[in-house]
Amino acid sequence: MAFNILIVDDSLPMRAVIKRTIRASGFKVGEVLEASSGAEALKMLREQWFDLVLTDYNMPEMNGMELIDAMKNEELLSTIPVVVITTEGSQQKIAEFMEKGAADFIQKPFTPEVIKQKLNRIMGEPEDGEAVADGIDEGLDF
Amino acid sequence: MEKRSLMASMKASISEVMETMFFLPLEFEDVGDINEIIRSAEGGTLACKLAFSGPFSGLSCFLIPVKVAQGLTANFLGEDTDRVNEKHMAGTVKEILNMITGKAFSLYDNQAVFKLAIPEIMPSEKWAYLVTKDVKEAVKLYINTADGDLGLMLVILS
Repeated sequence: MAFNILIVDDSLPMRAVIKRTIRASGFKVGEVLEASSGAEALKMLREQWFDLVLTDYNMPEMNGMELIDAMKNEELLSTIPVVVITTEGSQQKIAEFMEKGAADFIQKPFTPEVIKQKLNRIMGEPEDGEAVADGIDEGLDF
Repeated sequence: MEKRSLMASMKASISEVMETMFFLPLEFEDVGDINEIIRSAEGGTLACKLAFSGPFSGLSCFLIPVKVAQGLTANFLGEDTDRVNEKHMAGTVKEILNMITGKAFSLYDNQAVFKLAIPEIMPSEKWAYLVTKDVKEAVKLYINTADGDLGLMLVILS
């Protein structure tokens, strides 16, 4: 299964690099669309189904946490997992993200490996090692 | 605020950001004058500042020659250098400073909460005036890369 992803970041270069990194990571990606603000993201989420949202935390007007709050208040959007991509690294801030309902966080700078590992876990996809193990099991199952 | 520890965190942070996101190895020069980057960069420089507050407050500032910013932006966007415009460069430079500052603080003290503002581009000429008599401390880094030299400064105001 390929997943449709919405990237929310006020920085065009950052949106571009996140998009390229996800594709390079090998994570099963379907459509990847971009929103430059929380408000634009909410509009897109109401019009089209996304399996996953990746949002920046530090954005003008509506930050990543406020976007999660707004999504949690709408039944149709409340179950979509949201991953916060952030420069924040304090334990207190990370705990706050998770308490607010973030599915996970990714600290910048990030690598394709970290992105893939986190997104696979959230979406219940097998890790590469598990996929190989499954294949071996199937081969021996007679 | 422990200056030596903060400087070590800044060095580790900028190395990680530039090597992980831009594949740009770098070295630190202990005696470099950051203002010299402004004077000598062909094509000018871009400067960016980011206000922060927390256990201590101030400004994080980044200086980069335009030609280096253009190359890094093209790399970041996955575009040819000639398709990179000023807005793209400004966005990339702001993001670099945001990543370096956030990472440096989390390396310095991951129990502390620092609030980062939105990064802003500023005129390079103002760089020399950032360290005024009100400044409590300034941590400066002169950075050598194969593409050109960069400057990073943390100005502690309170």
